[in-house]
Amino acid sequence: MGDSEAKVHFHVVRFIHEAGMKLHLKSIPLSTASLIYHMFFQKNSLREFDPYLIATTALYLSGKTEEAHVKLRDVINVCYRTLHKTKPPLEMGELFWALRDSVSNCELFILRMLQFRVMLDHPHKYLLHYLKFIRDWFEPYKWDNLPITRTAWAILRDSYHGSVSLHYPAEHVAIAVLYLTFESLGVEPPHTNVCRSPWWKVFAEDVTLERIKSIIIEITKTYELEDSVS
Amino acid sequence: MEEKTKRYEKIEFLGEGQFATVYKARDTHTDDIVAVKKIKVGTRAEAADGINRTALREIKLLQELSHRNIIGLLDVFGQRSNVSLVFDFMETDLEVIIKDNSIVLTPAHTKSYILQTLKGLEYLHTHWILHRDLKPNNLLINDKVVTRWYRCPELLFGARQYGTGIDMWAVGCILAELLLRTPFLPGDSDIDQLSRIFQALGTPRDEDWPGIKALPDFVQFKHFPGTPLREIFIAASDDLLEVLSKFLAMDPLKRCTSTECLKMDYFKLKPYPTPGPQLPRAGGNQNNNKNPDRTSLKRKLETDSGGLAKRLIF
Repeated sequence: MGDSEAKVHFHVVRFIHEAGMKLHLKSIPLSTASLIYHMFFQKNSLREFDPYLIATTALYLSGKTEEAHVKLRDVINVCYRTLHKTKPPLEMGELFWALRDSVSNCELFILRMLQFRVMLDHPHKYLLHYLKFIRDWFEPYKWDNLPITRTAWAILRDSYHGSVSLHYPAEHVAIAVLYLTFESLGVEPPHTNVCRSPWWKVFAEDVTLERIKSIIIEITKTYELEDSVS
Repeated sequence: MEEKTKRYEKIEFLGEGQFATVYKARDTHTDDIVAVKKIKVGTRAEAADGINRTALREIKLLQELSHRNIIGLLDVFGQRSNVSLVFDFMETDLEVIIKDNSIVLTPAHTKSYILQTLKGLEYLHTHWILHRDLKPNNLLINDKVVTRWYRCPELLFGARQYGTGIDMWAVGCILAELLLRTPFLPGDSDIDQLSRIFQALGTPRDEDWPGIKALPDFVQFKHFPGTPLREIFIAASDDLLEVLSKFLAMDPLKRCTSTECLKMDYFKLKPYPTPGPQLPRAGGNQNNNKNPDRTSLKRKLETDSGGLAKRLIF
């Protein structure tokens, strides 16, 4: 993927998140929408498809697959408003009907392209589990004074600007996010030096430090991209 | 993608329901006979909302499930604004068997059907899926069949939080129907349904079902003493009546889970369940389908598994 394409995708995923928050979508549908968007553009070119149409459709579709249905009308109004901040709100009229038809047609197109495979395994539930678990290793006052949970959750959310969750198993991404969180806060889980096996081995037998590092490199690329686009 | 529509050659129309039309077809790649369920586009307003959510849910869940007592989703394809699901073809469904007077159902047959149903259900329940629409004809949609007959009292009283007990109740009704060869509780309205339930099994008192009065649509029924199951199902063995009473326990918390049921005496004692291939076939002995070793019947009972769908029955 070229650098300029990566920048477009970065902006569009930010759009997905912004519109999705306004639609009160939670983490999982938002993440699914982002991944549907990434999966689509792994197989298709930006020259042939409007990324914002794909993004809008991905939001609508993820609401259905993740049992967090939002009305198509709301999706269109909110996405339009998010995209055209200075224009007046969309009126019920030809443009609205045209947009609605585009999205509902596009939905089936995306589904066919994905061969109806819409069950995605996200790192969230693993991360939540690991966090709850590892909290008990810390002394309570120490844990309470560190923004570990918030940081980890933010990193995970940001990672969807890229497509790392498409390339690695969800458990591994969750571990890498936690690893990166510790690194960036400059903390180590207690007893790191005395334990014979590293903390992350407890969560997934098959993960390697090498794997963790390559996931982290992919995640940090997103932050570099952010610096270059804003 | 285009060749998908050509891959399946339509053989005959099988049935139609509110949400879908089902065809028998030949898969030209493998020569297998399959069932193609074409989701109806619906009204213009529905079509404008894109893919039917119920259908999408069914697809999503069935793709993840694999069990010998649950119908296999072989393929999904779309053409223009249609979506079609391709399933294993099943010869018949349990409703046909029950209604076919030329078929004699032995206790071993009944046990086999219930066993297969419970195994499929156990698999679903351990994966946190409720079927929500178990009934004998789950393969094809038949307007006359009313899901109400298999609906448990807590749902009839409007419960919004419910669990695996709703499916267990339906299994109980199906088992009763296998014994009686006619629907056990054919209510013609929700109130009539409850009244039939209580007439047959006795109106529950507070101590039988704590919390019953807190249900949203609760109404007090006249007190019926109920008839002992033994007097309704005269020919049934004690171990069978024991499982039946567990399926049809009024309080959902007192109903057994599929796993518990499978461990009960009924499934350990003689007669042993008839192996799938030896189960009776519909319409006498047509031999148009040459793979009798398929556990056909029952698998389809579970068909709808995915479709938590209330009505999308396939």
